[in-house]
Amino acid sequence: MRGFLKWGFAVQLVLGAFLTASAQTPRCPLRPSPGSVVLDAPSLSSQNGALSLDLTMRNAVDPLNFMHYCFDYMSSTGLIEAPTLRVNPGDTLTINFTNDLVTTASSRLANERHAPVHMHGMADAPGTDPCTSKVITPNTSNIHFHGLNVPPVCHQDDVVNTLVQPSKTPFQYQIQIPANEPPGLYWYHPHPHGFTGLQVSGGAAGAIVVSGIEKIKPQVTGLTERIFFIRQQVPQGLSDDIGAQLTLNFQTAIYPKADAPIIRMKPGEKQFWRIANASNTAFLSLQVLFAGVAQSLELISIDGVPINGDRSVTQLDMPPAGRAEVIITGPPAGTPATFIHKGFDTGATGDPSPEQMLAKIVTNANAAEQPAVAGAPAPARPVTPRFSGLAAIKPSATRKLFFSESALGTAGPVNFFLALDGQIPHLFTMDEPPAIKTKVGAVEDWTFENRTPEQHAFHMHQIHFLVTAINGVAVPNPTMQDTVIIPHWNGKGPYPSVTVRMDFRDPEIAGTFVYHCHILDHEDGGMMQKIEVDP
Amino acid sequence: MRFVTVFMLFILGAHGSGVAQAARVSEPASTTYLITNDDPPRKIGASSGTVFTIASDGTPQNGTKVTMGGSGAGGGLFNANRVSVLRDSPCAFLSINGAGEVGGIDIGALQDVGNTAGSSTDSGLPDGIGVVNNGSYLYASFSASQTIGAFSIMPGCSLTFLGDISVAGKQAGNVKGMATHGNMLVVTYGDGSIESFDITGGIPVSHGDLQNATGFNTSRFPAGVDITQDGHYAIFGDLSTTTTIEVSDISSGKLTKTKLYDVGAAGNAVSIYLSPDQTLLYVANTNVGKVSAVFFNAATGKVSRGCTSAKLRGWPDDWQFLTSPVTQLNTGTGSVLYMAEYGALAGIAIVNVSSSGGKCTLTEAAASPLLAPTTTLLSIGVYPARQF
Repeated sequence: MRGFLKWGFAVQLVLGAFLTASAQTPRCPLRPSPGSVVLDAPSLSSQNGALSLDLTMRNAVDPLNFMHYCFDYMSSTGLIEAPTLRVNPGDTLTINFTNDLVTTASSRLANERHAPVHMHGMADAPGTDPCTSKVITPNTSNIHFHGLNVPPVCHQDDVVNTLVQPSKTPFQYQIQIPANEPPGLYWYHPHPHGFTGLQVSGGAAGAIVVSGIEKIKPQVTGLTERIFFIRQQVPQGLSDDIGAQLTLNFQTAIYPKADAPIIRMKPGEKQFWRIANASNTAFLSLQVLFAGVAQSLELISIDGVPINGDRSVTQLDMPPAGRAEVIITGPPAGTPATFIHKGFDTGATGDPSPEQMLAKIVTNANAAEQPAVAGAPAPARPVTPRFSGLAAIKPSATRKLFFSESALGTAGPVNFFLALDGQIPHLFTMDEPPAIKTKVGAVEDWTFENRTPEQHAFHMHQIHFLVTAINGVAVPNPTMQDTVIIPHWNGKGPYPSVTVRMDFRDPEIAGTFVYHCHILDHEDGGMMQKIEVDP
Repeated sequence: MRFVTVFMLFILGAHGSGVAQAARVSEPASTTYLITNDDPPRKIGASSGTVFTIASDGTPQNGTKVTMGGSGAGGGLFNANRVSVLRDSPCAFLSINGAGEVGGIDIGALQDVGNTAGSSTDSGLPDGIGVVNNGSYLYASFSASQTIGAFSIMPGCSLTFLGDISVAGKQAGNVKGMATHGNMLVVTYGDGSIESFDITGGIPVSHGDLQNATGFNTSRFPAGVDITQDGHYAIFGDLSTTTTIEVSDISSGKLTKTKLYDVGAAGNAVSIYLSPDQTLLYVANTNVGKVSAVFFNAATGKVSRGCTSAKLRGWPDDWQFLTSPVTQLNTGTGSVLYMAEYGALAGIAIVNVSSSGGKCTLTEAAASPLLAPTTTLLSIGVYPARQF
């Protein structure tokens, strides 16, 4: 506890009233009080080609009845939550992961929706080998390295078989960041089927930055870098549609019910913002307003992949799990400025996503400097850029998939399906065979139809895809993404569709992995399938 | 077979005693009534039912609001019948979903006869309370507390609470649908499982036949349930993205493995109703604004494709639902089918039924939809009720 309070970063947080139950038992660090200055998570950077750390997953209830799920890292100055992991292409990332969850509640799905939780067989006795245990309980956890193009095998980025039970013995993840991994923002979060939403909405999500973006986008060099994680928290006992609150770097953003978070900038200062939508269910439309007017944002990257060419936007539409990296210019001194979510139409049955101010931008000529974007070491050997030539390749297969739902009552859908066209939809279970089989080297065009009156967010593990068409119309500036919005159907006319080009050329991603809706309640509820990519 | 005969005699006896008790209420003439549970949202005002008379052409008219007291829930499960009408006596029981009570209406007198609460832990919020009766007892499925309350049906449409039991499906789901036949209560759970109970003594006692329905393995979960007149088959309408029906032979007095029939692609068959002559099973295609009639063979329990209506008039293609099919007449096909339309354009759908020679048609009546008493309408009953 003493060491905890010594930690300089946490001192200002202690001033707030937002104390967690862990104040007595520091299972989870304190989170910032409303109206305080938004700070980035502390970073851990690789040294000599390696980054190794110990992470412990814990949970604790705070006085406002929010259940925190936290990736704890014990630094030399105290406990910190969800540190940013900075690595270079080619580096080795090692995480000794300890599961110290003590959740007593059963799944939110089981409690609130009375829908079955589809998972591995609930064995009588917990398995001991995290690679083969096949046991999922509310206390099971693991880590998904979202967006990284790395192997889907146990001890790397596997969520099909890797299930870590509470134990004092750490489970080791060891990942080699591909030498041609695009430089950008990725993230890590737990992914135990049936309980992913519970743990992520408790805050278990952190940033991974693959260094080197300034080599592709030199305009970011020297700019102050900010990493903003927009999460969502839900008081225990309430559902996402009525109780969810957005947070910015763990600070509750519920203005005017409480003071808004504060982002400090120097007047007119250019900053490089790396933004992740780490929410459970929220589709976000982000804007920066000066005196109420949306400002131009220079788009640098989407989902960790730098975009081609130069593009400016005034609004960032981000599905749950989406990331965007932009350059913004600070407001002139004295100009009121805000960072907002302007609200998102999620469809008739979607969880409401109303307008919400995320932060006030306050200018101060003496605003504290944040770390600037620095150069990364050059790769040891020349590498072929990932995704090269993808747009021009003739696809080896085309597939159509669709999202559908069924409802038992007026409160909304209870069963969520993702299926291949022509198949009868069914709820996903972790022990079912892959729905799709393909081979390394394949390039496939997949079209998703949304046959439901709510928005969905398609996410592919292990690889990125090129978004080529929306509703059959070619996208003018295709981007590589790992998560994409699938627009809702309004009940008339053809189903909305999104077409993407899947890139299975990298032999490193051979194996079995999943794709799913990244509205995590949908994923937990069965809107998921497996794919097997054979060598 | 012998067992079945004895069983049936017992059922008739039990049914008869309930009718005799409840018959001491105002006897209407040969009028047919349609009763709605208005179930307004909490804080809107007292809950109410509305009693219509049905004109000879099948159109409900002259709706009279009967204030029930208590508060409603303003929504909930589609297939939890919030109106249960006695078969031979003009009593309707309506669940008061926000208050956790069940109220009685004397249909002939258009009077509220008072509400009866279950136990202190029985709760129906937010998904509501389903009610069903076998003439002697009324059963209320409290969706939040996962309990089934048992009530004795008393003279004058009143109730006396007997007690409740905690119930849960095979995967811990709560009760979604209920149906009775004599001394048997059949229940569906939201997790794809089904169970039956012995209700001879009023309080349900499980038959020990809790099981996942056949559809469970393909994500079709039984929700609505009905039972044939002879008690041979329990019929289930599935929560599904297609129209699937499951049938269980219950002639042994227990549920058996269900047979699954996929009878179309109109979607989500959670609300079903067997026609009085048992030749048609009506399926409200909840999400798409259509109603289907599938052919049912009461001798074999087999289901086959029938007909589907056009999309109902003014259906808004939005957050709108169709539930609670029930017929005007308690003979033949029922002649006219009524359903609750829940949502922004709430109404009572009126659909004419025609069936002969292995073909059927469902045609929406000119007067349909009738403006509903409330936008939260989910359940409808008719008196005189179907005789099983």
